[in-house]
This record gives sequence, structure tokens and C-alpha cells, in this order.
Amino acid sequence: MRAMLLVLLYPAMLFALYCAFILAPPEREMGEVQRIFYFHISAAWLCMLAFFILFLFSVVYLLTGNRTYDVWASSSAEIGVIFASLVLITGPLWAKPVWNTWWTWDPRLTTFLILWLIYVAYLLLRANMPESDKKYKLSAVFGILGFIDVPIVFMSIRWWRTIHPVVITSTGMNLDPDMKAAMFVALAAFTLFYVILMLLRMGQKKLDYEISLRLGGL
Amino acid sequence: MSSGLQAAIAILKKDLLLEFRGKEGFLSNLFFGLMVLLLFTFAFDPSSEALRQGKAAIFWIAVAFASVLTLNRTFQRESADRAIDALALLPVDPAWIFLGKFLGNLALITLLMLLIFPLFMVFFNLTVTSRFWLLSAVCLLTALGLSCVGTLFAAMAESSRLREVVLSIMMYPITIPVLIAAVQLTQQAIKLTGEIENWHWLTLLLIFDAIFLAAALVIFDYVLGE
Amino acid sequence: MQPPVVELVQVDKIFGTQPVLRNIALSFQQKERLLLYGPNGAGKSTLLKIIASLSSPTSGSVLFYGSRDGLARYRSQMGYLGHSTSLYPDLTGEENLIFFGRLRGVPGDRSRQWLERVGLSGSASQRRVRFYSAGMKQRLAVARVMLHDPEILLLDEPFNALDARFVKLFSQWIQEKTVVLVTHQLDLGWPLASRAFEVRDGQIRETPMAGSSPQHELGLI
Repeated sequence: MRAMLLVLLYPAMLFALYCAFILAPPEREMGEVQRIFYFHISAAWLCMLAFFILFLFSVVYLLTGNRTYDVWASSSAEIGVIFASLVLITGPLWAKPVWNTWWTWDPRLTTFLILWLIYVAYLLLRANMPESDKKYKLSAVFGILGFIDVPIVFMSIRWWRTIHPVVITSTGMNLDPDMKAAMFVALAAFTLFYVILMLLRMGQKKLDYEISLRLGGL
Repeated sequence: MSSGLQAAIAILKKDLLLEFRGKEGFLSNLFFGLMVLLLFTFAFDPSSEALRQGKAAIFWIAVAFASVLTLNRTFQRESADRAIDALALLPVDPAWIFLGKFLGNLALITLLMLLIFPLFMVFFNLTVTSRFWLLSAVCLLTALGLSCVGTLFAAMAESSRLREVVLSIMMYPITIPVLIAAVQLTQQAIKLTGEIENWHWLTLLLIFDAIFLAAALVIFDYVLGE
Repeated sequence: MQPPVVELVQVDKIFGTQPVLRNIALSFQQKERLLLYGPNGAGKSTLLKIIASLSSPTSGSVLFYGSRDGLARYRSQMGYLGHSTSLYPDLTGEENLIFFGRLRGVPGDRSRQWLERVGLSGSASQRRVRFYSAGMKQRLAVARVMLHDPEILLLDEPFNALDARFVKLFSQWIQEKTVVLVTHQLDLGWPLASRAFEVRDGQIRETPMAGSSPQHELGLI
């Protein structure tokens, strides 16, 4: 199945690139640079999905104690953090030419930064614990609490920012139908990408586990 | 009295006794907090607008730093000779054990605030009279949030390498809403003039405390044991 | 027949990728005294922790009094003395015992009685445990597990650092109880046991109890 999806992914990604760079017209005010938007949004969507899956499987792990679900959760966390990093990189790249600033303490940006911090903390917690059931349990606990925290963070940042002048009120754009199409294609391609990355990473972890089980086994 | 409550109270008393006995630990944390307060004041021109606006933030950063050090110690004490195993094997709901540890930390963090605040007042030439109650409420609710999340994470960090760092890394991003709310409200409380706006920050503190206290009580079971 | 106090069914314990216990099946009834012995690193302590409900198995199940719900009852009747003494170094001997007593609703007088029984009354009880010798610490730890008069005792190398006289005394106390004893001091453990198990490479094998302890094992250690 993995191979099949992989075969599907190449045309899907190429098509997404085509849509973003050729099909979609350049934005009226922002110009060509706006094309990064398709990947920026898709990456953001992907990491939301990834962190939700992490949350979900953390709960399932705690309920069942089956290590497989920890593999799901931790793989999803790794992918999520990579794409959150991409969001944090592509954002300023887009913002600099358009808003003339790399970074603004806008609620969405700030929440995203904190989100990134929380899930990097998740990975660091894991990296600092020896392999054991306890590690999986504690990571699951943190995965759940981190996810619960996100809406509270968002709320607090939004209130916090209303005290200061808000530089950019809205990034809302009236999307051209072709732009919309490009966006949905990118979203679909990235979702597929996520599924494939998950399968690869989980397969890899399983192999890694089996190999060391054999090497370290009694 | 239920056996759970009894256990929680015993743990609380024991923790306070040990803190009191090993005063140097608490005093070092307090001193560290005061240092942070001082260092931050040097970062700004004393007469500048920035300092006037950021006073509350300086106080809360000092408290947040000192608190993490205190939190770090509470479970080191339990795992030094694995006393935590004896606690984990009690025939009571683990939530009670959490409660005992949590209340101890709450007391210590509140005490830290009480001791750092006078110096803060002196350095920044504050008078707190009319809005004393707002300030007390903010301090208490913030201490609640910090010690709740902190107790849970300290117990978790205990089984990791580099536990001091790991606790900070876990705790700060999660408690950012609490710290923002505390800063906003404190800024209001020490202003003395003008209407108090932003009561919603109190709501936020309450919501945060309620959610995390509930979550911690439920989830602590998974943190104990191996 | 009554359900066994503890029953382990197909228990595996894996630390990361290190299997420590494999497919363990073990159960015992009230008043049985089990001896677990074997080479270092065989998984004895891990097995005892699982029996104590301190550690959960990676797979398989552990039943207390025949069900998963028996845990609270089991814990209230069980005393576990692990590798560490589980004491607070900065509390005095007396404070330690009174604290652990309070956790289980044991009155202070009874805690003090136990101090006396383990020979730590008087000035020793007022000293911080930090300054105790290994033997004194171990005796205090024994008092800690005996404090609430447990029916079931799970002991991991309890005779470490104890002198012969106290070992004898302790052995008398646990004679009438349900015991799971991990020790490599077979000369002390064997006479106490009603069943013996050899733990090796993460698996257990029951050893017939006829006669004296297996001499070759003694020679090994």
C-alpha cells in the first residue's frame, strides 16, 4: 500500500506545484511571492492534523497500553514538528516582502510559535527518557495536556494582542477560483504526503524495534 | 476523614517540614528570584517608559524562574531513595497524592511571591492599597496554575535525564496563558488610577486552573509507578 | 478454592527493546511463601515490582484476588520493600515511621512500637536517617513495611546489611504471612520458603523444594 501511495504522491505533488505556480494567477497586490501561500497553508493544516492525531493516539495509548499507539503518536509528533517548522519558515519569507516585517506578534503567529514550542518539548521529553513503558505513558500525558493547552493559548494571545495596536488585522483574501483550486490541490497533496510519511516513519520504527529486539534480545 | 484526604494532608505536612528543615534550598530559590528581578531592571533605563510598562512582567518572570527551581526539588526528594514507590503503592486514589504534593508547592510558590513582592514594590516605587484584593486574587490564581502544572510535570520530569531542563522546557510553553494573564492583571492592579479593564483575564486564569487541575487529578495515575 | 492473591498471566516486560521478562505465568495463594532466586540481571526485581503493582507489564495481565478490581484491597494488605529503602534522608527515624504510618491511618503509638521492635528507639530515632548506617536504614525500612500489619510481604533482598540476630527476628515476623522473597542469599531464604522459583533470562522455573537448597547455586554465588 505504501508503494501505491508513493506512486500516487509524485503526480499529486507535481500537480500541486503546477497549480500553485502556473494555474493560479499572481495575486494583485502581493505578486508572485503570494504563491508560497499554498504551501504555507497546507503545511499549517498538516501539522494541525498531525497534532490532533498525536492527541488521539496518546489517549488511545493510555487507555490500552499498546505500544503500537505510541508509535503512531510519536511519529505524528515528529512529522508535525517538521511541518510546524516549515510554517514558521515560510511565514516570514512571505511576510517580509509583503508586510515589510519578518515577524509580527499577531495571535495566529504567536499561537503557532507556542504550539511549536510545546511539541518540541514533547520530542525533547521523549529524547531524554530511556525506552520504557513509562516513557510512552509520560509522553502520552504530555501529548494530551499540550493539545488541551492550545485553545487556551490562542484565547490568551488574542486578548493580549487586542491591547496593543494590531498591525495586520486580517490576511483575508478574495480568492480567485483558480487560486482556490490550487489551494485545495495543495491541501490534498499534503494530506497524502502526511499519510505516506506516517506509514514510512512507523514502518521504520517497527523495523528499528525488531532489529534491536533481535540484537539486544536474550 | 477519608484515608485519601489523610494521606494528602500527611504528604503536605511532610513536604513543608522538609522545606523548612532544608531552608537553604528555599532561600537559594528566593535569592535567585530576587537576582532575576534585579537583572531585568538593569535591562531598562530606570526612568524609561518601557520599564514603567513592563514592571509587572519583570515580577512574574522572577516568580516563574524561582518557582521552577522549587518545583524541581519536590520530586527529587521523593525519588532520592524511591520514597515515591511507597506513595505509589498506597491503597488510595493517586489523585490524593497529587493533591498533597500540589498543595505543598502551592504554599511554597505563594510564599515566594509574598517574599519577592515587597522588594519589587521598593525597587519600582509602588504603593498597593486600593487594589490589594485584585492583586491577591491574581497571585493566588497564578500560583495555583503554576503549581498544578508544575507538580504534574515535575513528577514526569523526574524519570528523565536532565530533569531540571526538561521541567522548564515542558512548563513554560504550557503556562504562557497564565503568565500573560498575570502580567496583564498585575499591570492593572499596580496602576492605581483609571478603570480596571480586562476582567476577562481573571476568567482566563480560572478556566486554566480548573482545566489543568481536573486534568492533573485524572491523569496523575499514569505518572506514578513504572 | 479461593482465587489466588496475585496471578500473572503471560506477562512480558520489555524495557525499550530489552525484554526483561518473557511469558511469565505465576500465581500464589494466601500463606504461601515464594522464593525467587537467580543470577543478577535475570529479572527478579522487575518481576517483584510487577507483583507489587508498582510496574505494569508490557503485555499480559495481572490479577489481584482473581480480578483487576482487587487492586485497592491488595494494596491495603501488602507491604513492599524494594531495592531502595524508600525513606526520607532528612527526616528522623521516628518522623519517617510516623509519616508512613499516617499515610495508612496507623496511629503514632504503633509507629513508635515498631521503632522499638527494630531496635531504633531512644536517641537513634531522633537522628536523621541521612546519618544512619546501612543496617539501621534497612531495619527502619523493615519497620516501614511491617507498620500497617500487611498480610502480604514483597521483599527484595531484605537481608542486605542486616545482622544475623535481626534476620532471625525478621524471619519470625514473616513466617505466618504471604511472602514473595527475592534474594541471592539462599541459605537465609530457602528455609523460609514454601515454594522456590529460579529466574533466569527473563523466565521462571519452579524448583522442587525437597531437602536443602541447591548447593550448586550457593556455590555460584
